[in-house]
Amino acid sequence: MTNSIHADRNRDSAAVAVPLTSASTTGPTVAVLAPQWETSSEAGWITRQVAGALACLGTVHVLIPGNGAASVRTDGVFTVHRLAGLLRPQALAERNLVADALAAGDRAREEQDAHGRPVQPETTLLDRGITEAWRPASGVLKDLTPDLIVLVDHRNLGALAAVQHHSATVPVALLALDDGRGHLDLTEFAPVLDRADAVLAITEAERLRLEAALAARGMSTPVNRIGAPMVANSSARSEPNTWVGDSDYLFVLTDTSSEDTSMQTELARLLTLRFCDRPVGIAHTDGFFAWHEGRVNDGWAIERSSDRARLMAWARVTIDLRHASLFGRDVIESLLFGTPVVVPCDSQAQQHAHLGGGGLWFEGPADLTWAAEALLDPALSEQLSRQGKAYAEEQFGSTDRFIDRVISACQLDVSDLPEVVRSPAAAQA
Amino acid sequence: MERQGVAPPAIDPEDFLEQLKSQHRVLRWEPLPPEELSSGREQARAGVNLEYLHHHWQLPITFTPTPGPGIRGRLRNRLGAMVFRTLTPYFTAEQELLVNMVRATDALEKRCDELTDRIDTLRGEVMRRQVAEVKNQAELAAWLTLDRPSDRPIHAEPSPPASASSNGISGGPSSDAANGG
Repeated sequence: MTNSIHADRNRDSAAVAVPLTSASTTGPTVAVLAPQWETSSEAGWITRQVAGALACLGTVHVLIPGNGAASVRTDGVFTVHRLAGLLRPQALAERNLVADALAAGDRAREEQDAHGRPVQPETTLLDRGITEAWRPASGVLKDLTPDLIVLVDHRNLGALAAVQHHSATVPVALLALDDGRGHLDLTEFAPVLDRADAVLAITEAERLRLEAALAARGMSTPVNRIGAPMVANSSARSEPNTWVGDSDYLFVLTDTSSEDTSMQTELARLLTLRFCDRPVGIAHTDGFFAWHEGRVNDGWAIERSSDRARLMAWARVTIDLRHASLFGRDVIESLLFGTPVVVPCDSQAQQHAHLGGGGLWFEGPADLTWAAEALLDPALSEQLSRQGKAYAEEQFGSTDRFIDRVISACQLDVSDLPEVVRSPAAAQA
Repeated sequence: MERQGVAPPAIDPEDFLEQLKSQHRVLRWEPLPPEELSSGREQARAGVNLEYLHHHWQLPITFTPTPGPGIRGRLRNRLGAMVFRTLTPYFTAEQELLVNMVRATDALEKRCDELTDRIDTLRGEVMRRQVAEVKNQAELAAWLTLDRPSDRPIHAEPSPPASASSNGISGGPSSDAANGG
């Protein structure tokens, strides 16, 4: 589905237009410093979407840590610069684990040692070789002379060091990608927040967390929610999945195997027992299982997003037992189809059920069954479906608004958008 | 902090969940509360009979003549003294027996009190254990439906792979509308 851009020229945004060093016909040069460039994870996917939005206005160069020799390649409208050097694949995971441990500790008590001297932040422990991997980036930035730098991930100290080495004055927008693990409170990562001239949050919950973190540091950096460009795949409505029928089934999403004894698998089993009188489709990592009246049909695991979309579109309720790492992309998609959701209370997807009123959440097995039972009531299901769909469409359902928000949040001038990316109606307006 | 551009929904899921939980709370199975421990302990030391024994175990060990007029009185005293001297070994033995009986009774009383204390302690432990068991049963009741079936139910039909074609699923355009690529 193609959406059009409706740029609001009369917006009351306080954004300050970035002075362009490049020619106005080519737009600004934007450098995106991202830890990874892929689309399998939510973080990678939204990074690419933000870069794509900026590509509507200017030239986008993506800088990523290397795994060997330096290289430059073209990826669609992007120029991807893989830096020389090596970033171990597990370095980011190690850093996040250390950050988890630090965030879980009593930092206030550790601020001073036994002699009352301030303790140095654990930057060395958190680095894991990341700063060294980013070191060549300053040279690339020097060649590019970008008008705007987009730092991806508020923990990206290595990229920040490269930016600071290049220039202390070039505007920096931060795509924070805070996952709610408490890393925002760590002073070790604070320099990234301090350096940002603008902060981009994906969801409202993330925006509130970022505002709180900045307020705690006495900073007034603008934080803008950009949402995500998502659309309900209209073809998913054309034909139901014959294995689970055309309605009244529960669609359960897990990221566990059907054979293991993890909590998700146990909860999925509970649902098959409690709702044995109606089809329950369970997406496990090792297959798709359609249960009905104690019998099961199993098949290959669902890997294509279009298959998952079709199952969501026709389901009575989507129960996502996974813990969304960033913003719960599948849950938003379910809401766009008008299918209410049930999610864990500590998942990042819970905010869509809560703020958007598009579903319910659970703490334990009893809550899960009650929530699923409640959503099988047609009246409640219909109301939450309407609420969730309206919320998802408003917050995430427009590519035009997403591009608009990203450009405004990066303090670029929306009026610089070339007409070619606008819809005919908007262009005439 | 205000929510930026997020209007509150007509049905607030948070309120609805609270209502849902309160409804189920009414019907939730609750274990029987354990009976309370009696606070007052009956101690043998408080008995009246034991107190009497402690005060009256000492018997007279010498003959006390009673003053009386005349020869009859003197004869009675001498006779009494003679009988008392004759029976002194018996009285001494009886006194020893009495002393030991009082001591034995005292030891039994102490042992009885110790056993009462021990029983109270054990009752407390049993009660705490009962409380823990009841709590465990309550949790078990909540989790009973999670019992895994021993075997997977019999397949209704041979299982074809759930591929896109066999599932009747056809692909649609990706929603990556802003990927620019």
